Amino acid sequence: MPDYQTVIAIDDEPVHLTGLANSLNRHGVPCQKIYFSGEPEEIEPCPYARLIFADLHLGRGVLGSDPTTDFSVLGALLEDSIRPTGPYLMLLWTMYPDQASALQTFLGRLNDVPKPTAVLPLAKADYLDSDGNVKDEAELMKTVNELAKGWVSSQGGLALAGMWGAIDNNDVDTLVNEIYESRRKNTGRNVEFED
Amino acid sequence: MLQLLGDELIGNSRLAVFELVKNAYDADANKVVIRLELASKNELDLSNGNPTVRDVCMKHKSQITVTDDGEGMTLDVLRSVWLVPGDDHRRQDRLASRRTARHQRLPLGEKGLGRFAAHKLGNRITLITRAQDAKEFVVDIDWNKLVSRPYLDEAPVTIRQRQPEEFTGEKTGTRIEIRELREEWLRGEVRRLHNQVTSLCSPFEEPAGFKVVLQVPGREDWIRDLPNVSEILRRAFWKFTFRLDKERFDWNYEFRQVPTLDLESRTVEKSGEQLRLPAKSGDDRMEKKVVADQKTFDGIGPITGVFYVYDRDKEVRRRLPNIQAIASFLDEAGGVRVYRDGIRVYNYGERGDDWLGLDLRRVKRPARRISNNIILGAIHLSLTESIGLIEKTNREGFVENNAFIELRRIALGVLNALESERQLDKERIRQLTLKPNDSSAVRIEKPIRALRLALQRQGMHEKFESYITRIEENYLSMQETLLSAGMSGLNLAVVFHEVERGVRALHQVILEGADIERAANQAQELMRVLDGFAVLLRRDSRKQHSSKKLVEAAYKFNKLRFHHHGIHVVCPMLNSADDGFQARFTFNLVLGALNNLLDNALYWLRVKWPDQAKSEILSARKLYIGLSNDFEAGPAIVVADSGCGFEDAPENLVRPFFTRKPDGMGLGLYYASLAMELNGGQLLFPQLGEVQVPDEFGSAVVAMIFRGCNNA
Repeated sequence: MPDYQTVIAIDDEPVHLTGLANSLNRHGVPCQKIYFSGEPEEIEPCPYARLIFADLHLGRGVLGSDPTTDFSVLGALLEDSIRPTGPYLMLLWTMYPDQASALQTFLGRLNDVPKPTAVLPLAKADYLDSDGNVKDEAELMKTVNELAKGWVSSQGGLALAGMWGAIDNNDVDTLVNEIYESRRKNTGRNVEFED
Repeated sequence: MLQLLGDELIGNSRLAVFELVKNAYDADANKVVIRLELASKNELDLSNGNPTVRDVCMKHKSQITVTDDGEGMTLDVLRSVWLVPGDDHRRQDRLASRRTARHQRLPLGEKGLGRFAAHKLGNRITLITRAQDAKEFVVDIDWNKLVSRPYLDEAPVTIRQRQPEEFTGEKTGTRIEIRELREEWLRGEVRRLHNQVTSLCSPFEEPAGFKVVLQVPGREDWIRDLPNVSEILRRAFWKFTFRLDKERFDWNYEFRQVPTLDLESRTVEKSGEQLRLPAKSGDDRMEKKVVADQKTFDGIGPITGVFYVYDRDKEVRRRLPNIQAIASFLDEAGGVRVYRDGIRVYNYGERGDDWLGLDLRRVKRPARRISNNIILGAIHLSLTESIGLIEKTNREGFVENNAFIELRRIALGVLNALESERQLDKERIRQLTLKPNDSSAVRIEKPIRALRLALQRQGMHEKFESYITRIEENYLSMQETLLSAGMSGLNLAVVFHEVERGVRALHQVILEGADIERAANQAQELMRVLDGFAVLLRRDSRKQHSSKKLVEAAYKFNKLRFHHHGIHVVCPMLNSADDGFQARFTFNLVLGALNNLLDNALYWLRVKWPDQAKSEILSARKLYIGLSNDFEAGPAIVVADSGCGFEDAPENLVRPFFTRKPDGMGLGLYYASLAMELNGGQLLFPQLGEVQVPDEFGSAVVAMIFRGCNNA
């Protein structure tokens, strides 16, 4: 897989991973699947990753109560394996969505880890059926688009450039207009290229 | 306004009575008598077709009298204090540490609200009081007349002076008669009041001479059968007493001999221990502090206490005589109470006030955790030193400030010490009352159905459905896999039982109206138990891997935590060209096992060496990961640390749900042991000398043995 992939998904549950990535792919968002087997060297760097779907409990069978156990695994993967070089959004693709803000806090305190500009929850339980397949792809895509759009709006043009492939084409025009309008209102002038 | 204040500031009639009793305490009384004279009439009830005679309470003709033998009030106090709303002289006395003359008590009243309790209870109030060397004064307040006046200063409140009639001779005190009651007092409410007032003063540390008596003339049978508190305490299986002064934790654990159970009693006494704290909630869960330090007790001061704990498991109950009376008392009065200078702070320990979240905790670990209905506990605070704990104006507990949050953590930490010891005796009881177990026979369908129904009724179905579905599906598919894939040797019966009981516990807390977010959090944790074990049953292939690769992965995935917690890791093989031994195993599964060992070591290092300056921690918190050929069964990966060492026998360490951590699931080492067995290996806890590790790492040593390997 080429290393310029902007959307990646990492999970240790093959069915969940395939369900998510295939849904994205079918809706025109090329997504690289990364199955986490526990062997870090199997994961290649993805420096252009701008949208990362990450399962929280990659450390299989770790049953302690310290949440930093799982956060540490993700932090290590970001630092040593995935190594994103630009701003990126992490969607915590998990059965345990409440941990998103704690994960962001944890990653934010680390020096060498490329920090996500936001960690937002995407609850697996809302989108997967009992076999682990995506129940309603359209619904999943709608949520992903909304989360990504919200993030891009808050981050501005640079993020938009990175996320271009991650958002439905129909939404891109609307989004550009929204950013344009928002910037015009804030600055009182038309938006220049430098903006 | 007075009635409005009474309504708004005092939660219910029982609390109002309690406020009057607190006034009596502040007045230096030795004894308070609460007398409920409840008038009733017989009425013919034709509602169900069969004419029956019903006893109907006539609240307008009923009366409550509260009489104390305290210091009484002078005319001046009556005028300037009792009749003045919001007078806070008691609070001022307390802040200035001004104690009462006779018993040297610090006042409990804070903002002069206690007297509004009378208005909460009834429409007509007569107060009779007499102070030393004074005449007797009588105040009549008729609420019916009071409300007809637009302004308070037009209200007809009269104070009469008379020769002593109630408090004759040298007697002093105050008597409040409340007529035309505003609420009916039914049998259940009176019984609850009885429990409330009998438990008003701590049975453990009662201030000298303060006694509360409840009388219900003509209806003595309503309260006659209520059990005697001292007998109930005597029949507790466990007694745990403790003292916390600064960070020093002394405790005594006692498992008492139970006549119908053939088990020896057991006592453990510890002094100068560290108090292990549970994590804070939310993002603060990452807080580094895992043991209490001096700062933890800021605004709280020293704490003493006692917990009496019972066993209400079905198989145990079957063997005990007259358990019903105790069960009823525990249902009503169970919980952990808080006392300041021996006087209770409400509503802690009241039914429905799960201030420690004890019932919710049980969803995650029902067998280990103590719920409100099996504990009678008392936590004693010093009024002068617990200045950070401020009572709410409605008298329903403390303001939820930092001191209170810490008090809650401290209480849970103490309970954890008790639960840690208790699990050993619980296991002995379980072995004695054990029925043959078959993991496939534990059915989840019925409890799940009941839980779903309860959630639907409470309108909480949507929030929980995904967790419940996941729990149900994982549970059923794990049972099926165990049966069909020839894995019946993998004994997960305890896990199935625990999850089934967890679902029942969740059902119970939902019925009792638990906080939805906290309940959902517990449901998630339950789901995680099954998620963790479901991976064991996956048929991932075993391949040849190098031990070095496994250690490297574990190191890599934990290095941020090592850094976060200031752990000095020694792992010689990371810098060696040697690949270590080769073995066939499922990488992810064994990596999970190793991660659990590291997780365990990290925790106990943080307990042994609490947070301080980073350089000092680094020199003390030491972790070793290395290879060993010291075992006959095969080569091993050894994890050793400079932490607390193992307190328990190896068979207990790998027993499911066994833990001494306040937030621990008790599954980490169990999982590690199972994962090693599934990969043909073994988890061992060697003694010092059995395995070679550098001296400074000798506190706790665990070895993952791999069989049938090629040494590199």
